Amino acid sequence: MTDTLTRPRQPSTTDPAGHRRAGLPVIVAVVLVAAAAIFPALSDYSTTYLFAYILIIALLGLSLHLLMGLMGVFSLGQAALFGTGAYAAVVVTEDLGLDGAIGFVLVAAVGAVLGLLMGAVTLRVTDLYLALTTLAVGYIFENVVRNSDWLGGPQGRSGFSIMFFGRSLDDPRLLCWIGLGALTLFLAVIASMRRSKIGRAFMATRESPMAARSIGVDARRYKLLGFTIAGAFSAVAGGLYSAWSLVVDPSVYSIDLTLSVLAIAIVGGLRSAPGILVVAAALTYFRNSAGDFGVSDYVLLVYGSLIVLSLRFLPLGLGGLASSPAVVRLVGRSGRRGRGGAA
Amino acid sequence: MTALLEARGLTRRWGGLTAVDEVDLTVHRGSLHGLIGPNGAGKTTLVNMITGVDRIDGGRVVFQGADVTGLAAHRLASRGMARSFQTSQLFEDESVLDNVMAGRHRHIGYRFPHTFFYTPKVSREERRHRTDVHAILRELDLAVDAHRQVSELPYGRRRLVELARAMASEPTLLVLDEPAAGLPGSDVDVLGEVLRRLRRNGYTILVIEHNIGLLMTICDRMTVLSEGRVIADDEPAVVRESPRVIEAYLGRTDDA
Ligand SMILES: Nc1ncnc2c1ncn2[C@@H]1O[C@H](COP(=O)(O)OP(=O)(O)OP(=O)(O)O)[C@@H](O)[C@H]1O
Ligand SMILES: [Mg+2]
Repeated sequence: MTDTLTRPRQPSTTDPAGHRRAGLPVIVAVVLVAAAAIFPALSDYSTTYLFAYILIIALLGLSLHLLMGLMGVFSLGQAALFGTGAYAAVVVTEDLGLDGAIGFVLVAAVGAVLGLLMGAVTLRVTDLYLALTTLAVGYIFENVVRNSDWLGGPQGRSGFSIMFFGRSLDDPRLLCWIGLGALTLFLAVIASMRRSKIGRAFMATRESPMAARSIGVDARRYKLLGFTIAGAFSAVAGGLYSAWSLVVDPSVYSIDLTLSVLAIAIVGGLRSAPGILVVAAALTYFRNSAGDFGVSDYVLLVYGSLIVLSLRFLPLGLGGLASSPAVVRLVGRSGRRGRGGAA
Repeated sequence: MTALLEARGLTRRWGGLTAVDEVDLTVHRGSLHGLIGPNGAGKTTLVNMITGVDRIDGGRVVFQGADVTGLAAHRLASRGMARSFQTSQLFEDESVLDNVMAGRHRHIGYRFPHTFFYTPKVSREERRHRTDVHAILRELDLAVDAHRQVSELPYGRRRLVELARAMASEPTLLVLDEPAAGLPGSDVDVLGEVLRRLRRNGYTILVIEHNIGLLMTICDRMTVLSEGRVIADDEPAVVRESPRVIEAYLGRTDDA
């Protein structure tokens, strides 16, 4: 290596790191996770049950954050991964008799392999072709399980019990804690990747594949990596869903799920994990209590309208609004000082 | 002087058109090599083939003594080729710092599981690379804009960011496609000075430019393309007098 750059002669006076301080967001995240972990212990059964479902949907929302927001890959394969995870959890815990602590690692591995395959199949295609190919995987799998006696055919399977650490996951509190653990792990992985080499490789590939390759980024490798991670966590979400709903049937592959998660990710902001989490909670709550408001027939209409409105007025979603220059300036004035450099 | 890059008989066809026709090009280690030619001469296509961005229809490329014909762009980049693009390929929504940090990709060594859990090792290494990147930004007078989004910058500064990103990979061969295109005169002088300084510091540079005046003053050697063929390959003083070059450029009024 020719070390030909003129190195700075004296230690620079500006903050050479010059990066976002990690401290505050980490503290905020820890507090939020702790609060979320205490929540199930204090709230009633139905609220806890809803919270568990929100966590499952949030996991899926984050997988879209990774695929679409960070990698710029327009995947509609969420249901394929989710559904496969749902069936895998039943097979692994019921048929193989494994405890969830090991079983869910296997479920994640199944999802990772399927994600990897989906990435490999779509290596050469982008945009619409990729969206349709990944969508088609869901249809294929739905058909396979529908015609498989072992997996219960059209009726699916029920009457199974998924154990975790020797306790049944039909206790929604335990379900919440496991879901929260998976979500926290996923958030930590995403946040770390974003700030490091992999995140920049994703960003480069998303913004200009040609430039990415020209700085040495093997775009295909990173696409496969991203699909693998998203696959693992989507499958875990599916497995938790099996435990939550106590029945798994071919509807876990439905496009309805893919579209509602897509709505959550777009409205929350594809590039913003916090935005997606907030909207996942809000929309799932709305959907759940739509009956109380007497609007259950209009849920999909509301989702669709929110997508349209968001794309029209908030292309970066709620999260984009929060990080818009005006808001950042407002927050910056009241908080941070002496972060030299930024004009 | 030894050859760092040797292209032999490179050919690229677009349908019936032979955009690059049996071109030979030798870039010596430590030299600043100019590549000029009228619009559509095939300059961009030639460097696209050399850097792995475009397919090669015929010929060979030898880089650092190894045959690299047809290698993918990212492999060539890992072997020490870096380039800028004629039309900007910057990461528009990202900060200048992140754009240039991306250029250090091949030097960042940490692997799984470090990247997934932002371990102290990652933190340390990131900080070290950021310091290096800041040195490059200072060198190009970009340090004040380090935290600004690229899309906010005026055109000339963006060209510099693209140069900085290529430099960040500490390339053995730096390929620049019209770095001065569209720059106002004063910035062209600055750029010329930067290129000269890089060369003094040991960089090998292959630069495409329309601004012949600039190239004449800074290059060690020049290759002139016209309609996909090499019509001159020599020192600037010789190229300047070449009848074929004068003919190819006849009627062109360059702001040289
Ligand atoms: N993708 C493409 N498809 C078809 N023809 C192309 C393509 N790219 C380049 N060409 C043709 O190849 C020839 C050489 O183009 P190239 O861009 O290499 O020229 P250049 O010397 O870089 O020109 P300029 O100075 O305008 O940048 C031109 O005739 C151009 O029209
Ligand atoms: Mg060109």
